[in-house]
Amino acid sequence: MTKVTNVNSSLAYEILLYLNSFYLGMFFVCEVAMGILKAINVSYPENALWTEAGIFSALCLVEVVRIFLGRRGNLASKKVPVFFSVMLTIPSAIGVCYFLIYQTYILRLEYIWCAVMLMFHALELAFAILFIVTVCKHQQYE
Amino acid sequence: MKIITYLAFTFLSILIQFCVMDFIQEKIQSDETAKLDVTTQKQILSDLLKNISSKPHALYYRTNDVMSRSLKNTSPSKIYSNSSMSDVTLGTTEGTTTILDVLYDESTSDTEATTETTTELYTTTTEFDNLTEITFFETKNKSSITPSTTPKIKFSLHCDCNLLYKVCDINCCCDQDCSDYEHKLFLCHETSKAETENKAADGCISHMLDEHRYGGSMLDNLFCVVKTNLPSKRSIRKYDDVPMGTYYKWRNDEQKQKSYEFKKTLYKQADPIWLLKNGIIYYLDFPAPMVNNYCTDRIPIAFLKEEKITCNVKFKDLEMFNILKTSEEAMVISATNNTFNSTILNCTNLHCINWTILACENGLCWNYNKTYNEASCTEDVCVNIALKIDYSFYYYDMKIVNATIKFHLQNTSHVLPLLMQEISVHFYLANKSIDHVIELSGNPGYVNGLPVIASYAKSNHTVNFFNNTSGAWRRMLFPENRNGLCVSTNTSNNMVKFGVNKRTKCRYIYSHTKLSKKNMCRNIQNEIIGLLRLNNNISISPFGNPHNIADDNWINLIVDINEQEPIYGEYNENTLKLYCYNLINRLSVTFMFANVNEKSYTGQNKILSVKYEVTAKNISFNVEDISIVITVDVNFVDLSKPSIVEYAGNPHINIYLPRDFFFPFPHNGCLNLSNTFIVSIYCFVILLLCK
Repeated sequence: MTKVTNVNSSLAYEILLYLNSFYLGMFFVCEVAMGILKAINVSYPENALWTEAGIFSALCLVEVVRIFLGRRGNLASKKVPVFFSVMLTIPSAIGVCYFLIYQTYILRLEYIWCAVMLMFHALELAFAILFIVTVCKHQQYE
Repeated sequence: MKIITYLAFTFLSILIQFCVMDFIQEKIQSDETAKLDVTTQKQILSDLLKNISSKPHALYYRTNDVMSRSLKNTSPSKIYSNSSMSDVTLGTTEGTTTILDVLYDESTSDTEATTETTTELYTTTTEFDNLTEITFFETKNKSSITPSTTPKIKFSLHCDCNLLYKVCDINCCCDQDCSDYEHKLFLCHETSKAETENKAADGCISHMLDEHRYGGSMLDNLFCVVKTNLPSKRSIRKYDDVPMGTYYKWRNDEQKQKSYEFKKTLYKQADPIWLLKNGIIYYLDFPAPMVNNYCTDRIPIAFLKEEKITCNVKFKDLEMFNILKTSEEAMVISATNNTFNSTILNCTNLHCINWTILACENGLCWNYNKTYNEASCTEDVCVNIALKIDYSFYYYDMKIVNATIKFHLQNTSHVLPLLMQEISVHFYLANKSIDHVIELSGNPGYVNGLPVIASYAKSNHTVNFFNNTSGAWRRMLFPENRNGLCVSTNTSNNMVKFGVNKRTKCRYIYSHTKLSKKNMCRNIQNEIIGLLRLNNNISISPFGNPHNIADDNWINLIVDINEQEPIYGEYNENTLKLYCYNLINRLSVTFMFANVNEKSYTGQNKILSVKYEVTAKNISFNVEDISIVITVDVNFVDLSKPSIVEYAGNPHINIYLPRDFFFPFPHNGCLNLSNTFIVSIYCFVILLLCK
């Protein structure tokens, strides 16, 4: 029994992921710059700066994998990579929420770009679920 | 090319996001402004903001436009603008142990110290002038000098800027000695209003404060720290949660050029001091540095604004010459209630006063006499040159009642291309000379840089402090170094100032060399003891305001000279040498203080104890020149808790695992045997399977 799939790629999901990949680059650069600014100007409690740097690195890594899996799954109309991408959205969103609420010093600018990032996550999550549902519906068996 | 296009698109989308948010924010602000017209709504909003400030929501965008308008004038709660609060650049007692080690270095040789100079840590602005013979206040009928005061505003008793006893302190809004009119001069109501709203505000307050000065933009606002998640601190002392509400920006020193015009109204804060010369009204100014240390600029003397400026100037451009000319030609004027309606301005409708010019030398002042005190130069030296000038303006009953200029005369070299002149401006809201006003050194705790309060009386120290007419008897004075020699007078400038570590070295010369050699060492000793005031009973006030301090709480300083090694001497007629053994030549005073919470006031500097210590030395003199270097060390040791903030460490969980957690086989009993047996069988089976 071989699986035959239709072309079910979601254009909106693809656009979102594509934009998100650039936004992630900007987010990474700006957050590093803000981190340097804060490290110079304000005093951090013991290990807090390193903790935040570690969380940020993990967040970026998870984001890269999530976007990669999302795009790969979407273009190839495969639900498994998209499913993992959806799963990775959870730690990624938690990481963004950490920078939005719990990091040591929160700048107003960080409020904005973390909110935008969360918005991306929410939209991508919605479209990813739609995509998975569509793929599941249109799956044909010989 | 492709990537750049995509990047541009991404940034464009972000920009749109920001613009939309900004628009939404502005929309919210305009709505809120409309609501703020109603008092109750304002209260609700302020309460709301308070709650948000304490528990901020991550996605909440703060809107502080309304607050920003009123917050720009917010000043720190502690304002010490009075003259008695001289700026202290030194005085921190951190690392006192090191300082003590350095100060107690005994390597200084007496013979080497021929040109010892006093170790001055800062220049003082407060003078103890002997003004008993000079009356520079006009004698007036009592009825005419009674101020038209209205009932005073009631403030809380704790007022740490109230440092002049029974005299209104400038810019001290809580001083009950000030009348309503004087409070209005200080703009107290505006400040308190701003402070109240400051509490309700959150976010980047500092940015909002400086918005007008720096021309703040949305971009600055974005770099504000809006929330901090610092861990709990171990330190007992309270610290501001900096940098909450701070942002980083280059300083903008651009100053606006102001034009001044005589408005015929009463003096207000920051108004220039007006002079009248031959019917022409102009403002009084004084030299100031513009871009370097040279006196290239002139700035107006602003009403109620204390100034202290130091700059370099050529001899012919010294300010004293300019002042002498101005004081002869012009009078200081104050607008009165009749002035506003007058078209011709002269002394009939203005309050005019002449300048009082005093010449001072070594703490003594007298009326400036042009004949005796005129500056003159010989080939090398110029005499009667005032490099230090003090302006004092006394404002009382809504007009300037006295304007005094003090020239601190000294001799200078004529060949010097540039001279450094220092000009100070002081304002007092009093009708009597500041020399006769009792100055507190803190309220109630000591303020750094202000004199330590001492009493030389045997009892009733507090009563004596407030009744004593001479300021010298309220201060702890030590011999002063004048041209290398020890001078001890009541006008001495060498007083102990709180928080200022100081070493004074000077040479004492024994003048009675012709007298009998038999008791010479003892006589020298007695004179040194007198010079160091060791024969006086000194008590130190633990607080800067000795009000309501019982005699028992004053710290009594006693040095029992008799407990020291006895002094004795030896005279060798052949070598003409006098040997004095155990001669006291060094005094060390160590103040132990702490920042305490006492008398329901927090963070007050209190002197806890004082250690008075003398050191004796064996010294040989040539009988023709009996002189000795005397050293006085004053040190302040802070015994408060360390100011370093310690953040709480990582959580530590004490988990007690059973002993056999990693090796769950008991050592004894039947189980042990059976377990070993089971393990052995397992091993055997595995080996069999492997084969």
